[in-house]
Amino acid sequence: MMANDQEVVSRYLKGDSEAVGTVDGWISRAAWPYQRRLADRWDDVLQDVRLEVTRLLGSGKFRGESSLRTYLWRVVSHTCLDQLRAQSKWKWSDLDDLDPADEPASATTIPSRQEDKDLLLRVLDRVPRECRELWRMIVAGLSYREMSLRMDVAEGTLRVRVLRCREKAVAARRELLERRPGDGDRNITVKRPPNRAEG
Amino acid sequence: MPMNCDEAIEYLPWLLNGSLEAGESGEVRRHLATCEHCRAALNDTREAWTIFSQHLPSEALVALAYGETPAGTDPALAERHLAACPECAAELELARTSRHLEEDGKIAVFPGARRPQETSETSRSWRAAALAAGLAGLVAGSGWVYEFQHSVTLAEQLARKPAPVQETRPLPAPAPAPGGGESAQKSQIAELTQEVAASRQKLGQAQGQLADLDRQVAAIRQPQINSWVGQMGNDVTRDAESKAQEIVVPRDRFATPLLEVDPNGEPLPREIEILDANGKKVWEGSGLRATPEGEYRITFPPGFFPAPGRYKIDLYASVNGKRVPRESYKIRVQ
Repeated sequence: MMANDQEVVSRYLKGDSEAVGTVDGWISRAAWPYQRRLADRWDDVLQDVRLEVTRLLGSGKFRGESSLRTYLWRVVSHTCLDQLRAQSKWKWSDLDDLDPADEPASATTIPSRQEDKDLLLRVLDRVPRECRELWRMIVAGLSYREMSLRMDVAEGTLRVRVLRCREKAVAARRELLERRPGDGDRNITVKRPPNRAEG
Repeated sequence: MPMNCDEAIEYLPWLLNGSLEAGESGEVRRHLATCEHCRAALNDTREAWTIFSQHLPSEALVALAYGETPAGTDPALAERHLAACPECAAELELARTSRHLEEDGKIAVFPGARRPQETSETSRSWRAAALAAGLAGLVAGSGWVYEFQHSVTLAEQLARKPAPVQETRPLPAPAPAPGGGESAQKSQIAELTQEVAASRQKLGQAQGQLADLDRQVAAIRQPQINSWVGQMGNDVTRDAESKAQEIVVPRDRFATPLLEVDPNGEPLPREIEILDANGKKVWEGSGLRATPEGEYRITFPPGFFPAPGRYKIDLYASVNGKRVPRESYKIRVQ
């Protein structure tokens, strides 16, 4: 660690106004490109970043593996990206009344570990691009009528395409799960895809 | 005729994203309540939603912006994902721009934006335009690369301090640059010009992607009329006491005020106008229909209202080609 960085950290934690100004300047500079997307949440996010920086520096997390300025850049970028994602996330509608208590609807859908996220990225990688485009619109909250107009496709055709994409994605996930070693004893339930002939 | 399995399953993605009309949604839900097979399909639809919502972890984007291989993510997979995912590509460009600013302290940035005092659409547009212009100006004006002599930071002061215990040895005098300082300056200028051109190109791409995303975000930030409300949860606000009272609508999350239909009015679709306390129109829409329960439903996304305060929702019907005022509701956004 550079002696200068150590001194900046020490003085920052003591509340030295010059050190606080320097660190704050670095934070604001690193966060500057995100301000347009964060819009009126910019100040709040900056405040979150400052709190996080104080927490990290106070608990000795900065070990000098990079310069303090680069370390702060990482913290700022992380926090800003997470905030951007949080504000654009569209959660599906709550349908609790259709999900019996003994049937955990989301057991197969919420990845809790990095490897699960990695697996889902691999599944997504196997799905045709057109499917990703279609579902991106759904996740963004567009109705099938809006999508039909935007894509100039008949509504019925569109719904069937979306269904086929869903079947491909679910099948790809199942295939990858079966291939992955060590998943035999994991509590991941994958339901059979609907057999439409049974309906 | 009741909906069959094939139809119900096709509607499931839009049941989940809440964009089905009240009638469609009701039919799908009635079918699901009695069909185990279609409830299994609903689970598959949620699973697909999760898959299609995947993005590179923010740690991976930060690592890529830093020029590192992201830990725990296959680099080839990350590259393919970035090629197919405009959201992640745009976020990576933001992180890279941030990194570039962090690396090169000579690039001037405009002062950070403050929380807006005015929140009207006009001022928002103006601010967005000013920021966009500022971003473009940052790159276009390569002459804006200047020293921060006015803002000498603590680090620079510290750097100038003599090293306390290091043994000092006389350094050899620097060799004079061949050809004098002019050629060195020219080469530095050429280097900087190249860097600026590369940054301009990257920023141009990022701006294009951001503009696309902004358009998508703008579309989904509009109120949704005839929205379906499954559970009377926190997102629903109702005027329980009296129609004359204000309906309280939270500004920071989805809200669906249930607006009672005038039983004496004609059962026609309504046009909607939302006005602020000064009577200025905030939003307008059409095609609002009463639900069988005798309510109009509009869902406001978080941040839709420009500021907390009092607003009015005025409804109009088109009777014999004339626009006639009908129901009117007072709301208080907080």
